[in-house]
Amino acid sequence: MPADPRGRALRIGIGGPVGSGKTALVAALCRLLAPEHSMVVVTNDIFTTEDAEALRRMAVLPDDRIVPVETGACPHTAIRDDISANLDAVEQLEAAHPGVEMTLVESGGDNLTAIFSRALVDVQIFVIDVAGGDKVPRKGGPGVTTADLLVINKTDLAALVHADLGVMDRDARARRGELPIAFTSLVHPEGAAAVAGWVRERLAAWSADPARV
Amino acid sequence: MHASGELVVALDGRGRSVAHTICGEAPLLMRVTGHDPLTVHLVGGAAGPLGGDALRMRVDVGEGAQLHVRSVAATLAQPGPHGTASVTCTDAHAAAGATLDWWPEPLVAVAGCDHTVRTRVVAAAGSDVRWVDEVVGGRHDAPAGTVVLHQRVELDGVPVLHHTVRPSWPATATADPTAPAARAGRVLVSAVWLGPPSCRSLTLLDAGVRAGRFALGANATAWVGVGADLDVVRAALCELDLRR
Amino acid sequence: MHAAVLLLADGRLPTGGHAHSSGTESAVAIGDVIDLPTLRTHVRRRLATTGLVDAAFAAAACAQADGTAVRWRALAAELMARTGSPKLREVSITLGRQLLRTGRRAWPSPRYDVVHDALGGAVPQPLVMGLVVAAAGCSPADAALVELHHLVGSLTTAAVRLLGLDPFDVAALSASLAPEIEAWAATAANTCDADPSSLPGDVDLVTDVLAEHHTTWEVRLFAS
Repeated sequence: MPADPRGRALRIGIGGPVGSGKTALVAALCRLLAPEHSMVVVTNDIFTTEDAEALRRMAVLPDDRIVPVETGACPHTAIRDDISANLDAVEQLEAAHPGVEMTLVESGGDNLTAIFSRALVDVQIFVIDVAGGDKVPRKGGPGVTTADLLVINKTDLAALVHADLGVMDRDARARRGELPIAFTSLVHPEGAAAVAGWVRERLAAWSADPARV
Repeated sequence: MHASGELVVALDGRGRSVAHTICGEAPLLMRVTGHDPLTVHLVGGAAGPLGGDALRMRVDVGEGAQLHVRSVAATLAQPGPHGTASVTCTDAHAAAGATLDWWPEPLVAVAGCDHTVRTRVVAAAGSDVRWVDEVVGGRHDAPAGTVVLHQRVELDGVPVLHHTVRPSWPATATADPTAPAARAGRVLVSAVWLGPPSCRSLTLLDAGVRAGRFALGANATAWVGVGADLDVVRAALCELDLRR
Repeated sequence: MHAAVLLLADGRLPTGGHAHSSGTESAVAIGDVIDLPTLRTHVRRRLATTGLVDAAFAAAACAQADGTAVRWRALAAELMARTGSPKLREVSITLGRQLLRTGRRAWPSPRYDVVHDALGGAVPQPLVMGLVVAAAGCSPADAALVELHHLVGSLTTAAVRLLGLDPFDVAALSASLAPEIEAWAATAANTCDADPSSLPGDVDLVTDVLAEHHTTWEVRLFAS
């Protein structure tokens, strides 16, 4: 656990492979939750500050609430083994916005082995997508298996890519036991409603007792 | 040979800048060449320094006074008869409200020379000081000598720039011919301007020049340019707003 | 040698350095570093300039880890005066903050707060390195060597990633530079008791220009 979590924002990691929809999910969560809660976002881009720029263009939050971290060729290192730059960015951002309730940390697009350090985030969401193939949940990996929420995105494409959502659901449950799964299609703004609901629950739990999130 | 020069400028009773002291032993010879602003040219540059020389120059601009320093020709640093090193030390002080604009023609490090330039600029708060050092490695199409450039600039008691540059030009005796800086040529310009609000940092890169402008805090800007040709480097710095 | 020195020198110690190429990305882009010989020249030049300066300031910080706030402010001001590029100043402060976090946890010391407060939280990386090395019970010479070791590691690792160089060739290159690295470290450590204004000031002006230019790229792999 990060040092002394009392009184600070809930930190939520959002990881997953390249193109699975992490930035779209962050944008959707900001749209749905920012009216109710004070939020900030740290993005991790591999080559550019594109994700941060995209979020700023979408104007889901004021520009000064979105900060990019450059990760030097190793996106998973920056969220797992050496979280220095991310933790620094999170702390600077939270310090600049007193009273912030929620910090989203979006990882750089990586592979199925990526996972956030528990010293960087309190809870984490792993995002995979239907277009990556319906075998992905069966392949497992720490993100699919242990993330606090697994999001299976782009359900609208299932028929086009011959992916069987039932198979994905079954395999994901087999890997994850009781841990929750959300199917989303983020082409519609309300597509992230289930995820936003889960985040609200976590935030309520965090506010009540950080040790029990 | 040891030689010294002294240039002291202050306001007179009618508010004009006057050179109270303007004296120098060769090659540190000076002439007043203009007024408003008071302009002094260094006129003995071509004669030295030679290996073995130690030249010492002191410049002092009093409160509210203005001084521009130029030179009539490039200064040639040349090897001496006994293969020893040479050094030029320049100490400049600018008081509050003083203006000092120092931009002589370049120092040319002639093949075989071993020359050190040591500059110290001490500027009071509220002064306006522009200092430009230009160094060229060797005469046209000739090899370069060895030169070391030390620059230290203080504003209101705080160091804003302190560096030692040892260019490794292609033909310098000790140079590594593949040194990265050498790829851009053998002209080096290092300048600083204290007083006006600092300029936003910018760079300019192309085949013949690598130049940059750096904000050093609120009231200081530095420029550096490295390139193949003095005119090209000056043109690049001009685009970065360092102009005569 | 202390085991702590090895830990301080370990690239896996979490201090955020992995995201930086220390200028190699720009040098590759502009064609200064294209292969093993040019990488060698690049590393040697950096050892003699920013490497020497950072190592000297790390050694000076280590030697007087109990110094006054006035001395810490003088050290920081002198080091920043030797760093022309605002981007490199910012990177040094960021890496300093990150290393300070690691130091506080791994080698606790009341001195961190003294220095942090003296400099309003903006402590350049070499000064933090000196402090952490002192807190770990190691010497100014160790601080200088570790600082140079990380510079070489950053420059060479980035070149391997960007150019696909043979990692064994690069390891051999680093090994062959060991005597030079030790010599620069010794030079740096020798000045550790000097007045801050007399510490080495060697710079490579092109490094500053390229560091500033790097910030304008649309696409880059490293943070600096």
